[in-house]
Amino acid sequence: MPIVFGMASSHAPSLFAQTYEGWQRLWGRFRGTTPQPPEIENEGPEAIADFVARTAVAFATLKRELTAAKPDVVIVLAGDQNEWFDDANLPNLMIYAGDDDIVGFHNFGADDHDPPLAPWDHPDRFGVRLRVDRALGDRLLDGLVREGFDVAISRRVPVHQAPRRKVPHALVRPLPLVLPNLDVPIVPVMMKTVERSPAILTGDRCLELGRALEAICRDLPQRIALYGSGGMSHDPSGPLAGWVDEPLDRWFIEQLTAGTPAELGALYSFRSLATESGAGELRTWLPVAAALDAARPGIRATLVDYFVARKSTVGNGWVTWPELVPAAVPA
Amino acid sequence: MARISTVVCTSHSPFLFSPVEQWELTATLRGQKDAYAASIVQETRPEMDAKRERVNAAAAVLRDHLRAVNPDVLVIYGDDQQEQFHVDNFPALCIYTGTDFSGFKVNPKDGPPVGGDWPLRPRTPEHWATVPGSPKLAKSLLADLTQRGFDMAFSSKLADPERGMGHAFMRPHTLLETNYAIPTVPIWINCYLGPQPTATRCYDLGRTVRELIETYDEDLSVAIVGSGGLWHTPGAAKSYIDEEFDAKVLVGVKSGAAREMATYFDSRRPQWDPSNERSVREASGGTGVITGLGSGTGETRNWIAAIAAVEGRPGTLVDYIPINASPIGTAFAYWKL
Repeated sequence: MPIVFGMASSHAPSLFAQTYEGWQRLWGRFRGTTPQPPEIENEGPEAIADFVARTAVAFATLKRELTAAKPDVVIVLAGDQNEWFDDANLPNLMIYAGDDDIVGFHNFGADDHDPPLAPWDHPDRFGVRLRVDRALGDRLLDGLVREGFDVAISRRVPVHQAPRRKVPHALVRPLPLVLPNLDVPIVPVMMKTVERSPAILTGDRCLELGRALEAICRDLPQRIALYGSGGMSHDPSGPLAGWVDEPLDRWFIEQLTAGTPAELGALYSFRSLATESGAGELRTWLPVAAALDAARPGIRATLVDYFVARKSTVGNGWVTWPELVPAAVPA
Repeated sequence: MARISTVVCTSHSPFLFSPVEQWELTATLRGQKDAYAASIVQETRPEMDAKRERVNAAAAVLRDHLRAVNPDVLVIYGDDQQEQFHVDNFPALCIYTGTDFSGFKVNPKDGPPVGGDWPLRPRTPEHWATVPGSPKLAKSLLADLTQRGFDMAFSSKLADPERGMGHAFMRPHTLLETNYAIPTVPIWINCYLGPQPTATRCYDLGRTVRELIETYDEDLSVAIVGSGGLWHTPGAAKSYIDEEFDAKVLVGVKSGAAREMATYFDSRRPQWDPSNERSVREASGGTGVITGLGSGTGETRNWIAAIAAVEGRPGTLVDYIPINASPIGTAFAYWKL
């Protein structure tokens, strides 16, 4: 069974807060000392309530479509922010294919509290356990390395560089909202995304990765879904914190909905404040787009929702692609 | 512009740094552990003495050659054997961008080259050295290789400074008597843990590194070193030396046929029996995934990456010395450019 479904979304911390106060706290944390754009004035309690409602609908839509696709396993493309890795050994690509579950914390509602709750102090409330499909991870490692991808091997959950957070937030925050249930195993494909340097994957390389993943999965028996976690335009705590490059986000979405992902190969071919930092996480969407396009050339994504929420410091987007191989309907 | 002033390839077996008494001791200890195939006939003491002399002579030739070339920088292709990297995040390709690195000159343990409960050496100048890095060149290579589609990991500091830099990078300095003073860019290639990069990928890496050095905007004389190999499977049961493999590699050395070496390497599948857990473990470096030649033999990837920089130019094979006590086919070669 080939890849049957693909989707991608933002995972900004604010998306997991439910209240105006929670959004305000997170805005305070991520805007840093950067002067804020005038549109901030428009993001009062009503606007935030609207963002909260739209976020719930958007994640629910991803979950509903993924559930309908009946995935046996979800390959998750995700970045790391000093959670698993540090400068002693920082990969561009890494796949965890081990026997142990990934155990960390989400942050749902943590910032709605006054004072905010530290998830690691409340494992009963915030704990997340993700199952991993080691066999598929092995197939991906083997297939990708044979094809000339220089993927770091992981068979043991990495020693935590951020001992309290434990696990990349790109995995543990959005996955509980989008997986049909947490029994569906994942394979984490970790990509370097936010480093401000030229030593980071080009857009074309991310597309090549997607095509290679599709080729490896084509002949496997499982129903495999792909999820890209991160983006869109954002620069939390950076020089552009609170400023969102909406034209960039709109152009990116347009390529997905027009079925022209190859255009996105140019995205990281030059350096720009607009494409570094958080916007670099859009790298995780590229393999999904390329894999779906390889499976069915020209396939068009559906925009589930997109809104610029400057207090989240992020252009927040959700997309899905049509299910490629319909799941059997029970007679 | 920088230029590649030589390529040096050398085995880095602990036998090269051990007195013959320890070869004998190793042969005895390994003999008790079913370590040798029937084809391995142990050397007599005089034969060991003669081989030890040949090793010394070959090392002296490489040392004199490197002294004559007097490079500004060494780029060493080597592998890590759970010295800095572990199975939580083991890079396929990684480049060291730090200002310097330290490690044991030969071994952290004071004993013969066979696993055992030997005493740890102190990190004193007798056993421990610090080598300058070459961060500017290393960062440039890191960025440019990544832009060219190599998914490089980087390391700007050692994860385990107490254990120190791995032997693949320290021992060439010891063997070549550099006084640990030549600034060095270590490039790690995963040679042991399956899935390892294909030799063809390592060839492509070597070609690209050559191109990047030759267009690097600084007047530097760069020596490239391939560290490790040739055929050896330390720790495995019934070890032997595949002389056909070594001979094929040496044909490539003498002609500079790097691509053919890579093709030959990739055509060889490791010998393993899927129903035998131990054989799978040995062939895969413990991961259970078998993709190419692993174990010590896998280090031949480091030679192929190095020789890719001088493809088509005949190398000088200084010597090829099989050491049955290991067993390993050790080899020493250089390119005069």
